[in-house]
Amino acid sequence: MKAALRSRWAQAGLVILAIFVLVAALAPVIAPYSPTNSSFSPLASPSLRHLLGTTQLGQDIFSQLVWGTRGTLEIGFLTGLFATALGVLVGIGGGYLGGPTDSVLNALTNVFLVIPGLPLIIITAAYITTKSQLPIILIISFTGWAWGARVLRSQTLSLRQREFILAARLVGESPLRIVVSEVLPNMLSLIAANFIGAAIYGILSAAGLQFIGLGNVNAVTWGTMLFWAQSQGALLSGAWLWILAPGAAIALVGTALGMLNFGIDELTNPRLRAGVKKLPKPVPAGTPEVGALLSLQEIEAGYQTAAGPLTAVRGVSLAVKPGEFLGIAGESGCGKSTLAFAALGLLRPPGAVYRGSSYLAGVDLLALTPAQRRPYLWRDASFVFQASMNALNPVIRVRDHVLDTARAHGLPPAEAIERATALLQQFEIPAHFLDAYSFQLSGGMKQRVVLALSLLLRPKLILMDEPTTALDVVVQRLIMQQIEWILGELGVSIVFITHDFSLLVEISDRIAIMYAGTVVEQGPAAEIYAHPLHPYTQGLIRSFPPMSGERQVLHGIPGHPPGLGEKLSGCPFFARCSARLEGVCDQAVPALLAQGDQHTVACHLYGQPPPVAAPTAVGEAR
Amino acid sequence: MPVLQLSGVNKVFSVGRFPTVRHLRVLNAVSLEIAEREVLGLVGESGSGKSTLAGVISRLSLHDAGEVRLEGALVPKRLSRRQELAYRRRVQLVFQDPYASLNPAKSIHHAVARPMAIHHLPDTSADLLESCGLSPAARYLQRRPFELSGGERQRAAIARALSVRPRLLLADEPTSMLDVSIRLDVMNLLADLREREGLSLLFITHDLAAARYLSDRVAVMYAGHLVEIGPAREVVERPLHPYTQLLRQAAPKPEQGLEAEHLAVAGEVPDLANLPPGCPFAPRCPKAQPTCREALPGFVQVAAGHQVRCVLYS
Repeated sequence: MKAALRSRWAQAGLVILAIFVLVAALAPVIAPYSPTNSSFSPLASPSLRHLLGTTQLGQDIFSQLVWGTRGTLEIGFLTGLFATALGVLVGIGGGYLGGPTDSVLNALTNVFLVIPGLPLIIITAAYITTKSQLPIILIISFTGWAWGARVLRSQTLSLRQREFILAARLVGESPLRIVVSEVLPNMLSLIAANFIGAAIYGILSAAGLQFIGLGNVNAVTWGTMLFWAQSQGALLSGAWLWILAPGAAIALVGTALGMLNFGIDELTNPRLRAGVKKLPKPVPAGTPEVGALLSLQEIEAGYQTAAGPLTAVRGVSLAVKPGEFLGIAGESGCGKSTLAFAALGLLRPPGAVYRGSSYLAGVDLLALTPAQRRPYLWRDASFVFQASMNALNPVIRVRDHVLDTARAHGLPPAEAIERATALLQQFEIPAHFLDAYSFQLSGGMKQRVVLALSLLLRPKLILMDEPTTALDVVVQRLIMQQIEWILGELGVSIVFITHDFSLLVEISDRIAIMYAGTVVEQGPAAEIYAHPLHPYTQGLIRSFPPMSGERQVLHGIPGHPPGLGEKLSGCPFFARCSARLEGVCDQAVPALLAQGDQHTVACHLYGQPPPVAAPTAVGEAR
Repeated sequence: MPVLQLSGVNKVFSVGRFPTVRHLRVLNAVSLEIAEREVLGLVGESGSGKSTLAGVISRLSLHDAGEVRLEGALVPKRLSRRQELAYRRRVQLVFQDPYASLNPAKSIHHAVARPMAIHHLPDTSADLLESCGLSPAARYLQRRPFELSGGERQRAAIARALSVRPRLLLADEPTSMLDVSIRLDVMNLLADLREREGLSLLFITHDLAAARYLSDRVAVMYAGHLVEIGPAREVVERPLHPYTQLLRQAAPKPEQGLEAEHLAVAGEVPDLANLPPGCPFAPRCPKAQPTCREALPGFVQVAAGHQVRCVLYS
């Protein structure tokens, strides 16, 4: 809630609203006359005595406007309150309790959703004779709660299955307490938005009703002002301020409330937040490595947030040769996925590449515009992500996915189908699945369809980000075997990004280990596995319990990696490292230096002798 | 006396609406015991029914047939509020996803102390957090989940489960959402709690190596059936059921050198609404015989405490 109020939209809305509330509260002080005092000369032009002129009946328009603020805000506030209360009660109550209660309440909500509100209000309002505004407020609330109830119910339904609610049930919490103290606090912004929406609806409906003469027309509100202005022919007699002033006031309050709601929207949808601007193209860096198919040079990338830019990838250079399998291993937050998206220019705002080049066969993809980049993607370099299998459009068949891809890149349809059939067969998916929809496929089959699609245009490189992570071990192994076939038979280069180091050892030519946005070690797979140099790599390898041998107590790596926003003065692994050298490792960022053939490591324990030697620590680490 | 005994537990989920209701047989005659201070590993792939079993034991959902006994006493399906609370004090569950299992709007203190208040226990939340490795506790009590790392959240979730001092802790894939480098220490915490508090533990995982690391015994599930159960090292190192053998083959084993075993298995997990009449694994099993497709094989005792549901051993 506090964060919502930090939004510029919300602040502007609040200021306008505050002014109106102040005017309403101080009406007796601000208004020069009583709003019902009709002793002035009718239809006077604006003057110092009558700022907005007078009405046909000789009332001061400015005084009416000021006093009308009270009545109008009262309607807005009370309608918001009543409609929201009803919506919360019916929506959250039904949603959480479920069963027959929910069925009845949901049916009721649906009935109220389809009842044409305005005619009902008009008919009911016509029977009201009291002078109070309350009946009209109640009628509007009663016809306007259903939309809110619907939204709150669906949110409750999804929260009800969330594990923290199950956990509350498990410790024996009562249903009422669960709704009030576990569910409600997570719906405050939705309820606030609902309140504001209902208030706008209330103000507009009340103004509309009063304009056509329903309710108590002798009460002073902006709506009744409009009614009298209309019925006394304000425009014909040239008193246009009589209509304009209350009309503009209604519009202004509506706008202010709308701005508040927009502030709440920004909170739940960060993309709307100000500050996400188009960035200039990243500063190019380096030159492509000789003999490399893909050469990443000093990539720096991250995310633009309201709190300033975050850096997820801190200067990564990597190269992939033709036909090579490069495995990249790292834990959550190490920047490996950001790097994958950045490498192919796929990072979308708020993500941004700040610096660096990604040379694909000599062409810097990051120096191109999206339109210039498009022909290279999929044709030269395709990609398979963890989410890819769920990105298959559920309403079109596999065949149409194939044809769409072919059409976008000018491949004749017949040839595309032929290639796809052969690929599916290779991946042990019968050809008739070409006519299946994605929801008819299991997770493993979907990911294999995605693999086949990624190979359709015979790219030179496939970038894979956790392609097997959501799958079971057996399916994962089968897909890894198929990836091995792609590598061996088709000679495609593969960059394979995963959190699971153990998956990489068997299949990779080279492995790069990422930590906190940097590559800390890189080398031939067997070498990295048998002789890891970086303390982080050593800890990572020790973190996999073995399948054989005596059982013994093993330890992971204590602590957790630095956050994305953190400034690092030394080695990013310093805080968790068991072999750290105080005064060295926390002072300077270690460079990635060669240790023997093709093996590089960024660690002060190796390379140049550190100024303060700590031989025991070095011995332990080795 | 075992802490928990299940015999012949069945669970059917009905999905869809009339006239296309499908009855998924998620648990089929599951019988097992968990002894005092024992860690039983439960291994299986997604859809094998292992999480549903945890749901039934924790009474988040009720079984359709069979018996659940807690400390020897039969647990009826309907419980009064008092009985329900008494059950909840004895059996607790740790969820897989620490990002979803803590209320984002509430402090860690709420998560840990509220269960104590429900059960009229003194508030020992600070000590509890310390004993779960969140130290100093004062730094964590007033924080909200988003201020904690994944590992810290899971420790807080474990602390919440322990706040009512249960006898049996169900841990449903407690490490699979965590980073590799911190998984071991969360498993070590669970092992520690067994030692210190005398807890019994059902450790659900898809990872054979993790099951071997933490468990005394390991049970393997496939398509809602228990197919093998026995001492952890025996089951994982010398698996007998062809399905357990397949799981072992499929797991990455970097320590065995770089040459991977080539898997030759086709097909997918059977449709739980249309289970084959015999052994559920028969359609995919390389060693299947005609009899396998006729009737579900019974359990065969192959060694002390090691049972396999497979005709190869009868």
